[in-house]
Amino acid sequence: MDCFDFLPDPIIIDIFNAVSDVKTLTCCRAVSRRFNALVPHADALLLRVDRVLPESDPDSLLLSFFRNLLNSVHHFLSPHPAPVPPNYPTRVLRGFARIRDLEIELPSGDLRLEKGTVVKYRAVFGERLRSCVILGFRHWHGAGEAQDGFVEELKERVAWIVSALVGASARHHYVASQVAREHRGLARLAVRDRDGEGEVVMDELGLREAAAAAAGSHGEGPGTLAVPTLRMSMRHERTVEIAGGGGGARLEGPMLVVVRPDEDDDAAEEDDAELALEAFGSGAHGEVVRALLKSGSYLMEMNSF
Amino acid sequence: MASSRKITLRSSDGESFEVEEAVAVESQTIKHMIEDDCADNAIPLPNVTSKILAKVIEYCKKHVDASKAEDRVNDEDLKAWDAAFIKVDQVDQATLFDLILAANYLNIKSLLDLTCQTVADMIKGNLFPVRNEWLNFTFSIANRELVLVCLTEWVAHRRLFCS
Repeated sequence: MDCFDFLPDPIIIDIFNAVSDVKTLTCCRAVSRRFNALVPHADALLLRVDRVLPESDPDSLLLSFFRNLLNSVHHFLSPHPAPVPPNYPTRVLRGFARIRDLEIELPSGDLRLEKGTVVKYRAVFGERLRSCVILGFRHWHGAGEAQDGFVEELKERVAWIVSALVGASARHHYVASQVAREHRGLARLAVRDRDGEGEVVMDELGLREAAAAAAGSHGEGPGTLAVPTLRMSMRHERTVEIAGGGGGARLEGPMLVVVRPDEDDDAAEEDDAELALEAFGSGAHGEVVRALLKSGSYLMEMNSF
Repeated sequence: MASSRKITLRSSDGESFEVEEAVAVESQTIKHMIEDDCADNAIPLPNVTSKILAKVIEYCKKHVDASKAEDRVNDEDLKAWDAAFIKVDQVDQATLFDLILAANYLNIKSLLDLTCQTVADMIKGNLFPVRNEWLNFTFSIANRELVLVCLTEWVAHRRLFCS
């Protein structure tokens, strides 16, 4: 470990930012007095949530799930030693002076979907939803043609969209905005999960917006979720064949939806493509997204639910 | 097209390296020296040995070549090259840390990011033996649970961590 002695402090902090993982960094504090002094200055962190505390009495499955999640995350983040069992995560985030970039990784996705169905989303929030890109499809079972009626397919798609929006809103309401309230120095906050199902992002602008709104409302606890009127553009195909790694695959009923609040009218077609590619372009589903972007889009409007 | 002027760099142990200007200015430090007209003779780099300077030049050359239109290398291949370049030094930690210092002194951001990320990955992968100042024995970071329990108690009571 003598090698570290020759490195100046800012480089050690850069290394800690590259490590990012909160648990590893907390271990690093035990290495030396110097590390202990420098770890709190790391400001780009990744907090992996291992599990969510179980709840005794679930009313709405999804909302109670998030209430549990809030309890867990609050244990991590609350500056006041609440009457909770002294698990180390409580103290872990407290050890950092000023967090600028925080990623929270939840253990799993929250949407309860049929087997073989994949729904993914990326939602950007300020004080409320600013945009959301949803990608959904079913893996082909290989058992002949699935000729669902048009209405059935549409119902299924709407269910996907609603689940994704509720999931994103709940994550934002119960996790992201609470964290943003406690850590004012944040410039970026992302809440994602290990299954890669959804990502809720608050960028600098969004965080400022949320802080301003919170100042006005005196930080009430989580009440009901409010989802504003939304405008969405949907692109879908019957099936899509993709090359992909491992010999290709066929996806049933793929759909790409770009959701925005029904406020500004200047959202052009190009912005949809930008958002969609930003969300999924570089990942495993880039091909599907690009294929879907080629087809025409339908506009829908959804009122609060 | 800029002329490919040759710049001479002299390491701390007196060895001279001649490189194209495009490669040399990957280093912001050298770039400023050239702009300030200090580069007529060899540029002395008293903080960098010849061994390390050779590696730095190899890195810069590859990255300059990679972005030239003729030899266009795609991002994945370049990343693979970077991984192989730095892997050699994982065996020799001293060289890795010397590279960090050189990249910092010469202000080559991409090399600094690469080397820092490598060290970070080694920390995450428990590749450093840990010597605790107070307890005075060596143990690997695989014992992190024990460390963490002790640590949180110390932090909470602030007994040993006074500035």
